[in-house]
Amino acid sequence: MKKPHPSRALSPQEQDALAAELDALRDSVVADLGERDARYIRRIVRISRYSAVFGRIALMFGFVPLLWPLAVLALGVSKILENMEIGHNVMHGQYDWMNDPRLNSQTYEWDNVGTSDNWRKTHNFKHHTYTNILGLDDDLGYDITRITGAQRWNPGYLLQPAYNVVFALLFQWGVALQDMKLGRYVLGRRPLTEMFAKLRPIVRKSGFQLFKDYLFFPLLAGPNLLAVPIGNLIANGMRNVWTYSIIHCGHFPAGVRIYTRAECKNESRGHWYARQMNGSANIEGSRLLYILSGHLSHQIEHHLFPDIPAHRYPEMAPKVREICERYGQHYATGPFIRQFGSVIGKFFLYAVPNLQRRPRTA
Amino acid sequence: MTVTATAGQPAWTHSLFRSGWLDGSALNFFLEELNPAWSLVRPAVRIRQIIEETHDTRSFVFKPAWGFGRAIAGQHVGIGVDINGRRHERRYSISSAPARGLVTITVKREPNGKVSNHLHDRIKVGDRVFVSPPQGDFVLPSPAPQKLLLIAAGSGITPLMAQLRSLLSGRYSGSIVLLNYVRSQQDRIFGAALDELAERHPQLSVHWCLEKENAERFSASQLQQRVPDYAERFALLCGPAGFMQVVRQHWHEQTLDERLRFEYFGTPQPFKPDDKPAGVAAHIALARSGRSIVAEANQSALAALEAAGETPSYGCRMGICQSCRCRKVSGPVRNLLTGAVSHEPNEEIQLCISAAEDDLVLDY
Ligand code: FES
Repeated sequence: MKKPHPSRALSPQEQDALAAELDALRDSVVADLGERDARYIRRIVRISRYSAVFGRIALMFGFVPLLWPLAVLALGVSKILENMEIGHNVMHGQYDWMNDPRLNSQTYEWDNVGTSDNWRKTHNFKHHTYTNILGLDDDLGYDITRITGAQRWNPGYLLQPAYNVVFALLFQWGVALQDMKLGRYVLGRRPLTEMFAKLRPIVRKSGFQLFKDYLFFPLLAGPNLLAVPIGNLIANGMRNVWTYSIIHCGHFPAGVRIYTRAECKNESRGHWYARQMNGSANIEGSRLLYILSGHLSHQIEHHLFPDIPAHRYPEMAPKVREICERYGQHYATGPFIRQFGSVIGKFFLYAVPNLQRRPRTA
Repeated sequence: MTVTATAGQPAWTHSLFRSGWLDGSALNFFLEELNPAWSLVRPAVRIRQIIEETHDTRSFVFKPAWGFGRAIAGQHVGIGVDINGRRHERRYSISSAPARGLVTITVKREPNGKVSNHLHDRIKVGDRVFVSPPQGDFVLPSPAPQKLLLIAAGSGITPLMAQLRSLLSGRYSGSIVLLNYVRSQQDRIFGAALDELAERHPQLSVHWCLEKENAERFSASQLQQRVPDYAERFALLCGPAGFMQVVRQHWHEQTLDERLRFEYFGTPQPFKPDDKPAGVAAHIALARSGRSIVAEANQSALAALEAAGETPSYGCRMGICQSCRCRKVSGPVRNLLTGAVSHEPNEEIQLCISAAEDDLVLDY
């Protein structure tokens, strides 16, 4: 990113006008929420639950050709739906207006080793408020990947293309432990007792997940003991790699802008909106891809309107894009292969120190 | 009659969901799939019978799900219905005597009542409604005093009807006077049932005070004339706020306060601040601590709480992270981002973008 970012700077008046237009779009959708949205999310919940039941029962028959892979796929898809279209979106409060205690942002607990409480803090608050602000948004490279020249290089980053493969496979663990910032304890900057206290809920939650996938259901299977944990491992892996890819396509592909703290001091609502637009990237694809990504395929719309039911984003996208264009703001989008390819490219590019003077990031 | 109160889900289902060692939400999902009445969160039961009480009042009979417990006469239940994807819940008094088996609630159609109109217009026998367990402390002391006076106005008769049915079906041998204030003949909720009860039980005397036909309203002299020994009786009172105010005032003047139990319906008014200092737009009552704080005009409820020394949790302070969610029990709030005003009781709000339009009660 050596050339300046394609979006032009907005005057304070333009920022206010932009905010007013986006607020109006938001209000029109909020006013229209109803039966349709309730039916949609309940249908997704049903699909996810029943495909999990099918997967878990079918796995117990052992390594039956065709059936076993199908079972793994069903379980994997169920976990993906549960994490992305249900868990992530419910915890954003997208369905709180329904007043359904099962879809409440504050009490929902997802099928993941990370605790929902932790997620609500790191993701809903830190990442969505401070999106792409270097030093404030922990999701920027998740502390372990250098995805912009503005991050200081150290030799550890030489290995980042390799360790990102491991990170992708174990993504849920990374997310679960993200807020722990374990380095602080290893370096002795913080007391270990604090670490153990913070780890307790995570250990509890992940203990349950491990117990369920690798002890309880395998034992239920009796003689077909092995088929179950292996199937569960693959299903979890599927979900990890998929969520890893989708999430990395959200803020790291080419054309996405990184901000400094100084730029965002006392920012207006319009500036916040513009930052969300410029700091996110979409994925183009089929409806199936949208649903399986929890509509994070529409990361830009999600960041502008995090609490609007996500299945509405595809309808809102043309309008958002039109507003973007009118205000001279870049709307980063592209097919999955191109977006993800661009992220992988950055892993290699920034594994080595900056070749020239520090590139512009602002 | 409706009572606004805490719409809690039983604590044990909450802890079940969070415990981790039992996948409560999966278990609950499949129980609900098998039968919505088996829900661990909020059972949905079928309406068995609908009784036309008056032109604007109906009774709904249902069989509660397990876990409902046993109601005490005078208590109310939460009734939830989904209207255009949104669940609305109101509390309605039980009008049947507590017993195993069926429960009856009686609902008067409110002019702008979302739930009461939905119940009247849409709900047919066989439809399901969400039911939450009975609550409320509008109950008689035990053992029941030997001389009772029940004062009802309008749909305020509902919880008193449960009291009457429960007393008269048991071994109660004392005397009961019912003063029942209604607008006109056609507004006599439980008219026939009360007449029949009075006929079968000489210990009960029912007085219908008709406002339209007889211009009969509550007053000290009217009371004296109808029930000369009222001061000796233990009184239960239920009706609209204005009516109850007048009656309570009278009991207060006679220094009989502790001989009177009452229940408000509609929005509870925990305080009536008519002398707000300049700059104060509203009072916010904090239901858990019982504190009352002030809010300035256009001030977010979050800022108002903080100014009063409370420490609510928050994150973004701009309406996106949901860290500041809190349940509003009653009162109007304005969304500071959209300007929309909501009067919905028992609604989740984001404190950082909600300003009190008028007095509020928060579950905080
Ligand atoms: S503090 Fe983030 S939504 Fe209120």
